[in-house]
Amino acid sequence: MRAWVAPGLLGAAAFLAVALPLRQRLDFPRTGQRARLDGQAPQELWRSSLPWVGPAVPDPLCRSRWRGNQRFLGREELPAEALGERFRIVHACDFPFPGREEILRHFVDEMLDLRPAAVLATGDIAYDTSEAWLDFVASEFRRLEAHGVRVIAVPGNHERKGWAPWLRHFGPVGSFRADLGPLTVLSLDSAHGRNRLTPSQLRWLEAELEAAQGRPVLVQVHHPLFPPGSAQHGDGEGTGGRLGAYRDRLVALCQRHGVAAVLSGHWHQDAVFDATGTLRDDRADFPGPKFIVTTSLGDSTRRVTRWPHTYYGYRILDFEDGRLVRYTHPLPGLPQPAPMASTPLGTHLKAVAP
Amino acid sequence: MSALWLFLYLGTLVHGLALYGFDGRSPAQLVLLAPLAALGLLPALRTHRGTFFPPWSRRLAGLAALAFALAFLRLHYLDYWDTDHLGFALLVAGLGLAALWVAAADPQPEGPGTWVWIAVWLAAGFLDPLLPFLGAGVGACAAAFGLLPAAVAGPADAPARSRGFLSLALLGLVLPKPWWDWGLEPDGALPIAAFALGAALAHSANARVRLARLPTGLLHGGMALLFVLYWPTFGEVWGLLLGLLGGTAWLRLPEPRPLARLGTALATGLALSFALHANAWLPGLRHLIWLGN
Repeated sequence: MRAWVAPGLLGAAAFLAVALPLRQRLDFPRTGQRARLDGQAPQELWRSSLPWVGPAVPDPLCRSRWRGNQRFLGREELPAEALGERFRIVHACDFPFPGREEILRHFVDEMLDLRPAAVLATGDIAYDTSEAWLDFVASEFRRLEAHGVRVIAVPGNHERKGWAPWLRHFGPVGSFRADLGPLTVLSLDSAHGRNRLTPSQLRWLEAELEAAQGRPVLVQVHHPLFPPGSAQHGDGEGTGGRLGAYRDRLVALCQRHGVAAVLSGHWHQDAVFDATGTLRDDRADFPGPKFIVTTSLGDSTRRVTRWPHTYYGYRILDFEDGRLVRYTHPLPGLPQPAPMASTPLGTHLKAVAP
Repeated sequence: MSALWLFLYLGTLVHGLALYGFDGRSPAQLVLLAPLAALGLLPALRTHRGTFFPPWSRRLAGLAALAFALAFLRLHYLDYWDTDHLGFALLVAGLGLAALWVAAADPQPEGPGTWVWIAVWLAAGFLDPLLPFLGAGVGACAAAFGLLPAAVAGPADAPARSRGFLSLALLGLVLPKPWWDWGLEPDGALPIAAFALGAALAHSANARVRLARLPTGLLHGGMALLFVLYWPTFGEVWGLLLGLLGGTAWLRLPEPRPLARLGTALATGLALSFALHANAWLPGLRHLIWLGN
């Protein structure tokens, strides 16, 4: 043992040399919190260069939890009554790329007009991960948050092309829960490595669904769960990728816990599946969880399935009395409620339609 | 010192690249491969050990490893690693090359204390996934100046029974599963640290006597079984068992450790492991890659 004193002291000195003076990183992951209008965020994630040494708790009402060198500070959740009995959530994915700034600005303006409780941004939010573009996207999200529209973001596969800058702008949170009044939103990062979930994510999801105890739950994950199967259109334009691991267990969990919907993107086209993996382009009001894929907000549109409609859009999910009552948009020539269709961009705020 | 380089430097390098992105296209990412390429030169250098590894060059390399590790971690601790940044790539590659020089010049076998050292620094990955680089740098410096205690040969030590490629390739395949599982979450560091603790246990005198009876094939079979049986709830126990098997296999490697072969084997296993887990849909294989998939 005595022989290890010198290397141990050298190691401790080296550690202190990189950790002191104390450094801290403060992340504001977009997990559905309000904007920092008053200089205080409802939730903060601190990382400090020494474990259990960090900022003072600024508010006696603040919840605080240490985990190694990570400290979570949280204030009150959004009270259930704030959303009322009827509220709406907007789902958007596959965001526009540089040169199409107007589309994103228009989308934000439209959301400010529509006033959903939250916008769920389900991956491929940044096709360009330059600092300038991430600054622009984050500033547009802040515009929403400043008006009380929460943004809950998870990464897709394209964010991996500039992972470090993405993490600096959007925080290092992969799987997380956000409670919006009576609604629980569970977000899963499916794009680490490639399209997959991992055992720890599945275990986390199972625990969160157990804890939800009858609350309505939405799950968002970038990769669709089911393949187009026999509904595939041609070669699917080289896409049609799906979740690669734990699909069956995720579907079973969603059925067992009555998850309202699992929201995905990645295909740049609308699709809705039931729990058997059947494309439901026949009707919208089938029982059980809906496995929803929403078209691109501003990247290219594609034909992946036999569903013939392609356009830029987002999806509105209407809740009444804690139940998902509507998730499609009436398109001309379709039965009502329309199967599968999302809302074309420009529906609620005309002006500059792409 | 070989284990230090393999598990603290090479392991952290592959983990870091998997975490922060590697496509091999930018000059910085090619620079990061320099220590791996340098493995190919080791056999030639080792044949002329007296010429190439005078004590002063070893100490210089040790100091350089410490300096590179301190500089990189000082700049990057608590930040995200931009793997396309040439300056940072030069620091990491410099650390790898300098530590490799010390490892090549220091053929001493590892004792349990060295494995505990590895475990402590792998556990530091809980604070930041790149922090084990500092353990590699400090360890290289300590080894270069003769501060790392040498292992005491055990009474039951058998002559080398394995050339080592399969053992290290298997370790490379199995060991990173917690990293692939937890991603940015820090918890993946703990099963990996448990692995090194298990290896330390396997190097203790009592365990050496008992584990020496196990056939090498059984050790490999056990490691392959742990590839299938990983589950995060039992991550630390899983790591400990893998360490016992891996540590016992390590004791059977020839001395001096054939670092070039071991490094190539571990890197091959790590790369294959990443590729398999990133393509978890592979028909037939998917049930083996993640338990219950």
